[in-house]
Amino acid sequence: MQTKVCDGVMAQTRIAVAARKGGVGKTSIACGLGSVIASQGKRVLVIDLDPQSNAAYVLGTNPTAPGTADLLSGGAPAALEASPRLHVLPGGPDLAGHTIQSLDPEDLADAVAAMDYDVLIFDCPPGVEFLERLGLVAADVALICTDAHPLAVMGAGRVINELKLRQQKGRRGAKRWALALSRIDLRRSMDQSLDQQLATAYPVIDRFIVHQDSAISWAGAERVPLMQYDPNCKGAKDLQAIADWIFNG
Amino acid sequence: MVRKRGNSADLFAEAAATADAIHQQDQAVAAKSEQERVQKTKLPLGQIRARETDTRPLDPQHVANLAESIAALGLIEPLVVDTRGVLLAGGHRLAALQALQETNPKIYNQQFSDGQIQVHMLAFDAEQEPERALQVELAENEKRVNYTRNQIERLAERLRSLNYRDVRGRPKEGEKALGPALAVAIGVSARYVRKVLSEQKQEGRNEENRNSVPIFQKLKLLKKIEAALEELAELPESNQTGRSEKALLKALSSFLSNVKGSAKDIEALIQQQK
Repeated sequence: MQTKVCDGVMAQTRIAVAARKGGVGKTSIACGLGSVIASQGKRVLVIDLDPQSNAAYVLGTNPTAPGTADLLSGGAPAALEASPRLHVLPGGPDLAGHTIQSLDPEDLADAVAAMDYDVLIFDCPPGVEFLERLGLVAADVALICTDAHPLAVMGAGRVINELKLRQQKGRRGAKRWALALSRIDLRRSMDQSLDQQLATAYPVIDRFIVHQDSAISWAGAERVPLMQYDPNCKGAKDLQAIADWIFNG
Repeated sequence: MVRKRGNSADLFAEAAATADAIHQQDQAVAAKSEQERVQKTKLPLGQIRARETDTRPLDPQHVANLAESIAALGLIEPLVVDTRGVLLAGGHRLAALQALQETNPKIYNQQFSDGQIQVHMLAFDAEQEPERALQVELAENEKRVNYTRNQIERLAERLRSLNYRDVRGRPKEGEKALGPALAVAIGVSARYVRKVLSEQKQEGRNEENRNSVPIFQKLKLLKKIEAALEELAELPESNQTGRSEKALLKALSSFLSNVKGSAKDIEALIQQQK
């Protein structure tokens, strides 16, 4: 495992975690992935784009502190430290305000351009397209989450279509993306067929399975970063594979 | 009875197909919100750019009054700008905002704590569509403060540069009638506009003429009188001459020589001035 702190020569990696659908594990994957990457020695900032402000909460920091909305309004909010090398900018209701809605889709990309972190992770909100778009446009890699339910597949499909369209038009935004199959329990028939179905519908998109793992939900509930909660859990290993794809894939 | 479960692969396929269908709607909504987004409702004062030409100069008293009102109440009516933030209407308000910022920054910052000024952004570029920009400026000012004759004439100049013509009757193709357009724009009758414009034209002609100088005007009139009197003297006498006419004929030769003398004096004077 790489433990050397990045020396800044390497370019910043910006990851958007999106699903369009709610409750499929975006925040768990975004924060878990952040914890895994931070434990590899990289300096990580999780930027929460969700008005519900869950990311700062599950990482054990104050979800009501000034955060992403402040950044997007031209401020310089202090990132909250969750664990060594892992920081978070909280979301919050201000993100749903009119000022944020009238931003250019590239404004977040511009606002984070000079940030001194090795990795930025945008935790996109469910449903709110203009906030999700800010994250997708600012990212160079996107992780699209879906669980084994048709409604989640539908949400993931919409995100994929948006990413494809941006790429076709040559617009700024994520250049490559993968599907994260969330909360997978292969004893269930829907979960068994999900991977095959996605392979058929999206043959060129890489897929990663994040198994149903109570350690991930307990870490969030107890507000402890995943690698501090249980570094050897199954979920951490699944997220490790995703991190490998992001940096080496 | 519990219904038999379907094939999950089919269920996923249906969902993926629906995602594609909804994507069409996603795109339409994104395009619409993009269009609304560019029409900002607030701009920093520094990003509101003055227009290149005003139809009339700012009235400093009006600016001062507005600045006072803005200090007390904030900006009630937003400034009207184009997509690039060029001012279309609200020249006095903009000047008042700038004055307030300069003279009383404390109050200004209270009123505009986020540094943003309310604007109404119209979806066109004034540089591309100068005529439309002018129409907006005029419509905004309509009937508010009376235009002076000079201002009307300057306005007419700008309309002429936009291919408005002051011709009587129907304008030719590609031309637009100046008078009616101006009358609608500033809220006066077409008759009044014609009057102002024709007076302006008259004055314009006189300015080029030496007759606007009194001494030339006098000389010209004396020459006219001289010619008229000589013509009169050459006419045959009437058979029955009235008393007045007799007196006139008697005085005529000396009057004529006085007229000639005066004209000669003036000519000498002009010669001297040269």
